[in-house]
Amino acid sequence: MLYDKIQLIIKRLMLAVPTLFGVLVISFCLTRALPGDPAVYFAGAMADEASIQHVREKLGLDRSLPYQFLAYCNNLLNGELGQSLTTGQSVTYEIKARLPASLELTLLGLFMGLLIAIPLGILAALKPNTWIDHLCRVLVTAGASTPIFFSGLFLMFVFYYLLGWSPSPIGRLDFIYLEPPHVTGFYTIDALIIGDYEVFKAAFAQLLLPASTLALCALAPIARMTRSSMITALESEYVKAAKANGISTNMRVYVYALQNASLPLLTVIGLVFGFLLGGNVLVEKVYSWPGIGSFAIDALVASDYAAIQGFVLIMAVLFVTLNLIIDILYTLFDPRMGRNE
Amino acid sequence: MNSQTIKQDNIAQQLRFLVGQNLLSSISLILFGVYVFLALAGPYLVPYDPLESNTAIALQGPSSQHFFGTDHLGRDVFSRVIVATRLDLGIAVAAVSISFFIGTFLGALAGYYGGWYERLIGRLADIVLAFPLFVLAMGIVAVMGNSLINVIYATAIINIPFYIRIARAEVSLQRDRQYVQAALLSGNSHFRTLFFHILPNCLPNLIVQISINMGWAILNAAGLSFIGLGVRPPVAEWGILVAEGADYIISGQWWLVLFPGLVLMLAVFTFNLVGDTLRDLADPQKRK
Repeated sequence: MLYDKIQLIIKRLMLAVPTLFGVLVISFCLTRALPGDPAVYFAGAMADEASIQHVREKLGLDRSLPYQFLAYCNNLLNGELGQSLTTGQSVTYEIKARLPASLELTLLGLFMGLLIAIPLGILAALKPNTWIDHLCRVLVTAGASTPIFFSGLFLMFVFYYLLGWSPSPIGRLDFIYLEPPHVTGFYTIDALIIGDYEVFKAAFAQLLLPASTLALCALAPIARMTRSSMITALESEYVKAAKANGISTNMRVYVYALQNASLPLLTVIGLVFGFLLGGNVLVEKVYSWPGIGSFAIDALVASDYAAIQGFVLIMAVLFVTLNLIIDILYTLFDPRMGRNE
Repeated sequence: MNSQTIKQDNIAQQLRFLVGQNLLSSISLILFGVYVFLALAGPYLVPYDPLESNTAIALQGPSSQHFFGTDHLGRDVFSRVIVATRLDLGIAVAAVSISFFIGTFLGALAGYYGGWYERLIGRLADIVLAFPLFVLAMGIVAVMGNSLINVIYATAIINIPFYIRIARAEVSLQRDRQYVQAALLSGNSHFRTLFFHILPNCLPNLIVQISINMGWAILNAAGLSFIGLGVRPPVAEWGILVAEGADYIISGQWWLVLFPGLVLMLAVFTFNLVGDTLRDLADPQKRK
């Protein structure tokens, strides 16, 4: 049994290899599809013929495409994504410095979304066609049609301008506080580690609005999937059998049904994470959040190609990795997996 | 007696369900008509020139003269929102048609011929979907150049995999049906059988996807122009209108964001609802 599962997991890992390879090919194409000659671009505006030739040789642009691709992969393995023109730092350095800000925001948004959507979906499944079910449906449809930058600005208007509950919606931490020493890069966790609750509170307050915006976006698909898979589970034979055997309602709903309904939920979480990585860019723009999304927008405005390519690649690798983890969890949790083989 | 009341109750419930269902569908179809009408006739109906600025009346709230207020240059927000309909829907229609034709063509071939070709196409679709789609669209526009046509191409590319998957699944379901055998035996070529006999039978599900995709495409294009890609100011486009208003939201000029945002949201909502309605129509089990 365990042996079978390990075999299945290895198979999943192998399946991710061609996908990752494809991702690499596409991001390589993005680096080489620049309009005009990339060497002229990377050499800068003031370059003469000799320095362009020098850059061309340095980047390997005078070699064959397969060679260039291998060189590109080799650079990636060494963690080299090129030089950012806007900041003058290497792209790897910039992304490393900014990734925690984006991850802290995305993960909290996902967590808040789950926290609201799962109970909502369960309630809607327990009481179909009541007001809570209708509320769920309205929220789901509205959530799927709301542009994320619009909901972000709306929350900002209500909670900052009208009610004044939220701190000034700019950046990760109000300027009167000092950044906590870097451990994880997540300000909230770092502040907790040194036991500075004041900074923790400030950082959390700053996070709350942008994370809620992302949560609103994540809400819809999670609630819908929870509802439909809970309904399927509640109508199944094993729940009826449990009922016939006198097992209590709570046990049936929250243990028997929910356990089985949580598997399709895992898949949806993977999908939602993809939306959130994209939505993150818009939220970071709205809240001036210093994450990799704002970095990418600045790079877009300045036509800083190396930075954009690094950003797209990192996002794709994050997404593929998360989906892989979800696939593995699925294999581990689903008792049906590995039994037939 | 008792059973009769139960029966009546059921009929009443069914009626309410039907009316409810049709009400929502009717609303969505009416809204759909309104949007199409605005896209076609909008520029001729608006009270002001959407580009005409008049700083004397800058940043005024909604009034009977300016229904949606005025922006920082004194331009009429109502006119700008209405005029933007054509551009936003135009981008979405163009992008969705490209992804429909390319995706359906590739997916239909994959479903019909199977084998290594099917695996190759399926792999390609998987690879595109391995990216967070909005991020991929950003990357494509950045590399191909910051212009409107590239926003359309990027939006089209990220939606192609969905058509590939649907067309492949549908065609491989239909492939072994008897009418296909009949068409082949009466001398139709494979190409003709695939595109004139099988594909029309796959259309219902593809059309549902088109409607839902329209909503996504509008959101995607508006998001891209919100971060400064594609359409440039002073052109009126919903994403840009919201982006321009964003600077004023923390000083309380809410109408600059609210009205374009709501119109945008309602457009996406309409296309999603129309998609749901079409799905119910396409599914004979739900039609009962």
